[in-house]
Amino acid sequence: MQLTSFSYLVFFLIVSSVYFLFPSKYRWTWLLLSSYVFYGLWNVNSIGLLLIVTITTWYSGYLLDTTNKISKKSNQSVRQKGILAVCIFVNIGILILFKYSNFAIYNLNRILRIGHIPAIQFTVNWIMPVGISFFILQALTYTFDIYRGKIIPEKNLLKYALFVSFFPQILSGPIGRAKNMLPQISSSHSFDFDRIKHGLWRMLWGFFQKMVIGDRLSIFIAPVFDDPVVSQHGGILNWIAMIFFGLQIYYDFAGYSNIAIGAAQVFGYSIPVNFLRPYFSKSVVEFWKRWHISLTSWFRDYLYIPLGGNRVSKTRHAVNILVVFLVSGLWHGANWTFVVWGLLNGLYQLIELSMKPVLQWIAPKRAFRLDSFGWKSLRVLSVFFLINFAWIFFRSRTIHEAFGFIRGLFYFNPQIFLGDSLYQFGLDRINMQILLIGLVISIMISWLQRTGSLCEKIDHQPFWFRWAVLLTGIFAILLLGIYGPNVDTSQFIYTKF
Amino acid sequence: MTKKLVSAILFSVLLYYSFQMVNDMLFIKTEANAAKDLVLEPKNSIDVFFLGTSHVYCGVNPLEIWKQTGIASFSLVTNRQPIWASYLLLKHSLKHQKPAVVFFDVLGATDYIEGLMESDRGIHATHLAMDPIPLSFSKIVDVLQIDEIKNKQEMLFPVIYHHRRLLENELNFNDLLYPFSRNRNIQKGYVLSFKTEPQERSAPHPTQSIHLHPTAEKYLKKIIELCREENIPLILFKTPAPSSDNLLMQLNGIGELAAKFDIPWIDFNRLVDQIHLDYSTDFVDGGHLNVFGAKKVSAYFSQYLQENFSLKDRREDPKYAFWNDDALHYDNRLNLQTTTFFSEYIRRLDDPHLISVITFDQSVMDHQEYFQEGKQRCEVESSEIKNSSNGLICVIDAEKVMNSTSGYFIHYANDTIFNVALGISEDTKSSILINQKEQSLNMAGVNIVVYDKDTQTVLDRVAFLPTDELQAIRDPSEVNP
Repeated sequence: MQLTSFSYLVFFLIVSSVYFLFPSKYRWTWLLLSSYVFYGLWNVNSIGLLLIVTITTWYSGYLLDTTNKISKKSNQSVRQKGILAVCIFVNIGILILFKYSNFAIYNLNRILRIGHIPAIQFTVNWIMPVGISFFILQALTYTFDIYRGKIIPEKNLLKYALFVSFFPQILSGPIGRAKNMLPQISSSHSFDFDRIKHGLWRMLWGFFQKMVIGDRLSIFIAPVFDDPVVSQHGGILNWIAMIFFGLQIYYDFAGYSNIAIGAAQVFGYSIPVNFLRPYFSKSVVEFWKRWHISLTSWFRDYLYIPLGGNRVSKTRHAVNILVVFLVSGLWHGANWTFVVWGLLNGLYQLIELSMKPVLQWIAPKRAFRLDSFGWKSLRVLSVFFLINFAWIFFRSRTIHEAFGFIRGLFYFNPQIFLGDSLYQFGLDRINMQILLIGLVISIMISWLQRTGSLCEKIDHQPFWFRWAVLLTGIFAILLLGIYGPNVDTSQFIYTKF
Repeated sequence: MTKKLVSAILFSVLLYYSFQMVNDMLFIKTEANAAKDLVLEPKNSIDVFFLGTSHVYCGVNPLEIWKQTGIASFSLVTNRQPIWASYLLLKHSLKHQKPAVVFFDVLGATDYIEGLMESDRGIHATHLAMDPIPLSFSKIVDVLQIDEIKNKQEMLFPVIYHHRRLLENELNFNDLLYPFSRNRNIQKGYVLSFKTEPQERSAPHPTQSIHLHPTAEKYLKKIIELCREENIPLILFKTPAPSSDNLLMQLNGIGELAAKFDIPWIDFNRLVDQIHLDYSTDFVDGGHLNVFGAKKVSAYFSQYLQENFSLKDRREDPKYAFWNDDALHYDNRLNLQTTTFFSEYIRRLDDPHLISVITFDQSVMDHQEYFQEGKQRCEVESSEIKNSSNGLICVIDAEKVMNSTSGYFIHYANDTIFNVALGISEDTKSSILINQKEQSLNMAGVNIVVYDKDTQTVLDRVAFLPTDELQAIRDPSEVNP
């Protein structure tokens, strides 16, 4: 059940209506049941795996707490580390087994081929459970935080099960934290009209981002990226496709995140935002603080800092950054393209960090004002280009194709702007115009969001204005959205991870 | 909080109606949009339903039945209507009308069904029948219960299926105005066709029978059950058509089922001689009757209804006065193109569904008395024609007259522009452009172009020459130089 389908809307309508009929104290039970039904509708066989992840992380939390209470101090640390290690081993093991087995076998066979050793004739044919990369990381925050003594264990396994399986989040996050989510499950959520309204507004905006902008962009991208003949000689087409993909992945994932956050808001749950206008970042470091925030902060808290963060030698710091981005790349998919994408972003950060003292030294001498509009714009554009360039590896199916695409960037073909050549790649003139209008609206909304919540700003408008905006939004999605029979763009990019 | 809830409810109502409006704009309109057309008829005003596929909308003419008996009937038909859609359409229509009799054409209950199950054709055909029905709780329940409708979301929210039409430029001005249009279907579901294609008569009826397709049987029984629940007599029939042995054996099977349920069964393939059907003149193609064939089948139905049911003759009932108007307009559609008498022709233009453009040139002055009726209808004096430089233009729109002696006139109606200009050149003495396309015969005397507002087509183009015979010309090559 895709989040942009009518089935999801009907499901959501039923779940949210019944939710408020339940006594406040037991509303979470209905959400738990609904979340398991939702997940089961994707693949009923994956429910077992969800249960394993839920039970192992919850039980580890229980053991960690018990160890803390009954063990002598000398034994405590060792036992706790052991419990944590087993929990990580089981859960990350599950992730590796489902996600990376074939990748590992493939690469091992390549090595074996060099030594003329017979290849391993085995492939894993299991269907990767949807959302596995997200809910495992989410569940592990519980074990990690108990280990660190930041939270106390949740005694009720069923409440914990809701934390792991909460249906708005389970497919693609935002990856929640136990310390934020568990207290919310235990607290009561009243029927708050304004909160519900704002949640629905956010969902509507998410649908617009995904269906009107994101999916429209994907129509142009596929024929350019997926056809080597086009991509190796695309020239301006490649530049457009590169930028379009950078925008698509943003609108696709930000759209999803808004639908998820909005849905949670309707139930009274607060999930932190996942994107903060990332393409307005003035540095790559800043970009990664504003892009997929729930994942980058997870890596920061549970990988980067345990590795020593920046409180180590410069070389070790650089290695830490590269390790985090390497893992982040692999997390996105079992393919060398993701590894290169991750390392490239790590490299950007290293270059940026090494340039920082130089710029700080030059700036006062040359009277540069790095915060002037001109320099800020240049920095935003540079970051935008660098990030988009890295996305080439993210989007390409192989490293070879990615380099072919990069070669195609240097192909000189300005004549593409003459005539209708640009409209031969899935998006005709009217669709390009709709896309442009959609992007302008999106930029305007980003601009308005800089100074506070847009929902509250709309609340201050007269009712006829609010209704007009709502109706326009709903019918813009219904009439201009890319969906319907024989349209295969509705899957969110991140549900594949 | 109460204020906010009221506001939310009001917004939901607004959203619902906006949604219906968008749906009405988007769905594919044909000459027969059964469910929507029926809603525009006054509630509980129809006495007889004819249900079925295109074979019915070509083969049964409710206005012929009206003219002969005064019985108000309506064809609830859509193209390739699947039997499950027939069932739903009937169920939905019974909320609006309480007919005394239902006739169901059984083509949908034959192996015709196989081409519609789980196919794009079937989905499209189901949409044609179901889309004009507004979203309601009962529609949701009905669609959910029909196993043969696989894409239930699309059937309930046709915008999913049709929204691409907006960007693919398939919508026209009439689509956009459709939600606001209250135009009744004048022909009550009948689709007029003059085309003739001779057909081979079917071989003699085989005696064997074939059992019905299980899905067809399931829905045929549902239709029977529904009519019994509503206490409405049901009659099964099949319009005449050249048929294979296999189809005829299936019809035998349906006859047996009808007998089992004690339902009258009319197989017109067995009544060909009785109704004097002529295979060389009465068919449009291998399955559909033309206007002449439909007249014969409708005459049979008229007689059948009179003999078997005591239905009211409503021709004198003031509530049904618009049926007489509709019949007149149908008559015009049928006969205008063959009318050759000027005075009769002019009388036929008094039809609210027509726009008539008439031009008089000064040559009519020599035969003034013959054109008298035309001048009166156009409310012009002979002197006005005489004093005009190139002649006089008259436009009659919905029985209202507008005329001009200036030699140039523009009329705009129904998203259509009529440009009329006199004396532009030797070849365009009396130019009548409809949406920039020349329609006038540009002859001397009186030129007339008649436009049908409902079908948005030119119904007739004719010239009456300034001779004592007032010869009606439809083909300029007929005139000797």
